[in-house]
Amino acid sequence: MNDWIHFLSTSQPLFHFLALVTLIAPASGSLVLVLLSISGVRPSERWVAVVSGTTVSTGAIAAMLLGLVSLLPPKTEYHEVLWRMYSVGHYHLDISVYADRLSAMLTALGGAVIPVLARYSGRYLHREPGYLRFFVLVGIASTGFFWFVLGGGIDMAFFGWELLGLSSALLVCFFWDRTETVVASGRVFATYRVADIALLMGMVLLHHYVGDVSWPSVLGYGAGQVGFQPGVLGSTILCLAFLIAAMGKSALMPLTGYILRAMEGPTPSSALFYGTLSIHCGVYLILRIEPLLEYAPIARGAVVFVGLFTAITASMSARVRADAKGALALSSAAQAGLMVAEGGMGWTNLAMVHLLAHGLLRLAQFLRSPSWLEDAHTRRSHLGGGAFRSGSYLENGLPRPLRDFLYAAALSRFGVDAFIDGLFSRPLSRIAHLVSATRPRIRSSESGRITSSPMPLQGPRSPGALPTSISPTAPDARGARR
Amino acid sequence: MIDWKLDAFFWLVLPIAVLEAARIARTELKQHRRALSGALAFAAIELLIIGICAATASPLVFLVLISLRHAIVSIREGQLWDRRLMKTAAMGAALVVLLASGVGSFNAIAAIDLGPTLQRVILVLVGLTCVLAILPVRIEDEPKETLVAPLALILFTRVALPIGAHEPLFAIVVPLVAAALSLVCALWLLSAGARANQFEPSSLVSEILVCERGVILSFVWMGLASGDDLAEVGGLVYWWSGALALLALEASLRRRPLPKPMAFFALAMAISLPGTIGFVGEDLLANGLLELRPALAALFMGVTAINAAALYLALVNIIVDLRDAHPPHLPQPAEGRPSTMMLTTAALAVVIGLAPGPFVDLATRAHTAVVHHPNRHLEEDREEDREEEKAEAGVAPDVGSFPGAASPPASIH
Repeated sequence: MNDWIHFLSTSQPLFHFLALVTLIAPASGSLVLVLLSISGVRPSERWVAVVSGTTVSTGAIAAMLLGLVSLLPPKTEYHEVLWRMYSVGHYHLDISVYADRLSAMLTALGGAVIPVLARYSGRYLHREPGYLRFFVLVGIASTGFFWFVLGGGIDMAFFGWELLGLSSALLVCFFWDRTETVVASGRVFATYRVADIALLMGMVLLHHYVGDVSWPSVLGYGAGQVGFQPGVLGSTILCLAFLIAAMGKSALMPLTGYILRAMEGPTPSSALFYGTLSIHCGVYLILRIEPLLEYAPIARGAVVFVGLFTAITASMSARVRADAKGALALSSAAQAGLMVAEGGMGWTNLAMVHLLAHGLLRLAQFLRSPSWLEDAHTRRSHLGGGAFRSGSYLENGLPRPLRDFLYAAALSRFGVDAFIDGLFSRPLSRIAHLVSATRPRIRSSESGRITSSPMPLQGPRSPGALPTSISPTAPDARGARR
Repeated sequence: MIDWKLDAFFWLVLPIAVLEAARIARTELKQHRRALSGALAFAAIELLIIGICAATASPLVFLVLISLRHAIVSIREGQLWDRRLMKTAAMGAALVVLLASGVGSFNAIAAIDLGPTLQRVILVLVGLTCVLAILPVRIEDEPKETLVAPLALILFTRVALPIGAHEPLFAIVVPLVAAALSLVCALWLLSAGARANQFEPSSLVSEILVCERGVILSFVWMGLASGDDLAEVGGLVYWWSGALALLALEASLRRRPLPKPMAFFALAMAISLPGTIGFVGEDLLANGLLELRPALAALFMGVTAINAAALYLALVNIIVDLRDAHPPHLPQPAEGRPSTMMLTTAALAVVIGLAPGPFVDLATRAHTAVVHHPNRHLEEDREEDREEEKAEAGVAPDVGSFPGAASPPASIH
């Protein structure tokens, strides 16, 4: 038995094979579906589900096996360069795989969740016009997730991060025919883009400081050891860049607002991104760079503060939400905040267990949310009817004015969205407005006549806000203008 | 006797010339309803002129060719007074000054001392050409030059880079101007995307293409003039990726019914999604800029963020407008099929993006052919080799504690 374990844990070809299958299989399903679609063949729902389910599940199984193999003694960490993408001088970009306890745990979560979701979505989206599109995007998202988690360096992690972000934004506007979904996807995309740029900045800084950005070079083999000496300033800048990236991906304060708009997507995609996988990517990033925080006490403090602030505000906002998906999304953000705070305090193991448990629980909650109300009524009628009990909560013990104040603050999500708007969206909108004012006269699309002055950028009811996706507070400006 | 310069840079430009020719043939055939023979003739002329301009080392031949091209394009487009005229005039003036100062070949520019005044005049004229190519000014609905201004950039690499190597402010002023222009273009695109429903569809597509072209060309210009090897190679790769992205955007956005998946893929190409060639260019450019000018690198990243959000905004607004313009009582039209051009550019972007090694090698060789400052990274490699030899010989290296600090940064020139 021990010989077998030793063989499995030290077999390079096996590791290579599993890594390749994990990284390529989900994307291959999407590629097949896209090629079929482009060539004019419209595969039936059954075939779409079979192709997508098979490839995604193959990738998931390989990922779980990879996680298992990487945990077997005597070697508990693997780093393999699969191939070199390109090199210029002594700068190079490698495609590599790094598996340790942390990535194995998140890989296992993805491996367990993705096939379940694929199966669930096959029935849930029956006869939807975008059935094929959904499965193509799920394949891309799965690829992105595995590349992010198993990537041997920050370059590969960035690759997966971007794929995950784009597929997420495209799934938010899955229902093209509703303006709100399209507007919401723009907001999601803009927030993700902020996170992308922060991660890119971190990646470039790592190239600058270390030269090689593979995880073993950056963090060193063995937990708690940093592979290079970045100094306090360098570590602080690096960690803050990664924190901003995590804030975007894990909906931490003050970038929590987009997660509610992301609920415009179909329930399976909400469960996939905002219940289990995407929401935890920011947490994973913080846990991954935790050894670096040793050198950056200010950044460590910022991580803990952001995490706790998110946990408190998002959980209070979740309690006043009237819709199930919105409440679940905010609860996810609150838990992610808590995990980030745990990571910041150095309790990595606790954060890992928390992440795994939360991912599985939230998946079940999201998938049950469409039928939850009906189930509750059924349950109540089986128990003999009567009103729902409101329960006894901590806030009942607070003085009434304070309780009202907190209630109002939680409803407006503590004004953070408005603050972000004032900080980014409105200035950007004003600049865009100023730029527009310098444009030459434009044609009116309705009449074909030349209009004498540019029309205002904002909708009539929200001066200072971008009319579509950038601003969360703008009403349906397009509808107002039309 | 015509002097030729068939170096790696020529081979890098040639595919761009082919793409430009294909775009012209397609536009002439489908939009201007010209006969196949006429469309192919215009495409062949374009290919020939750009190809010869990239291959020639003679300023006189270059001057004749750009004048000829201006005449041909004016006939083709039926428009005499536009931005192209100013661009050709600026390029022509730079070449005339070069010829008047006795430079008969691009090969001789680095060796001849032109004097500071003449150098600056030529640099300003070439810079003006690039600024004119970048500025997001749209005179008519149909874009006249949506691709990546090959002639202006050939002139920049052949003339401005060798002269700029002697000009201390060149590597500071040009990237700063390019960065400012990229920000202007991105904001212009944002404003166009935000008021998408106030444009006619063809105007909006032209607006998007012109602005995006400005952003891409600014980045290329910024990279080429930065004085860092990585950023220069990144600039060349970004130029190539920009050509593909613009072609893909044009081919998908002008098609009705709109092929939405392909339009989003074109967007992914334009925002340099990993897996496409644009990512390679962005990665090299960002890393190179950070080596010498961290503030510029930060601005570069900020502009890429604004550009991506603006493009996304414009695209979703197009989709919503098309849907709103459709009579509600009629069924929505079926999804549009992507064109051959769209599929070809997408396939090229993905194939080169996933296996960029040979292409990056070509760009590196092209960079070696056009740059005239010491090759910084190669110097560092040699320095590292020397340190290793010293270490093997038992001498302690006098370097920092991490690999990035293995050699002190060399000067730009």
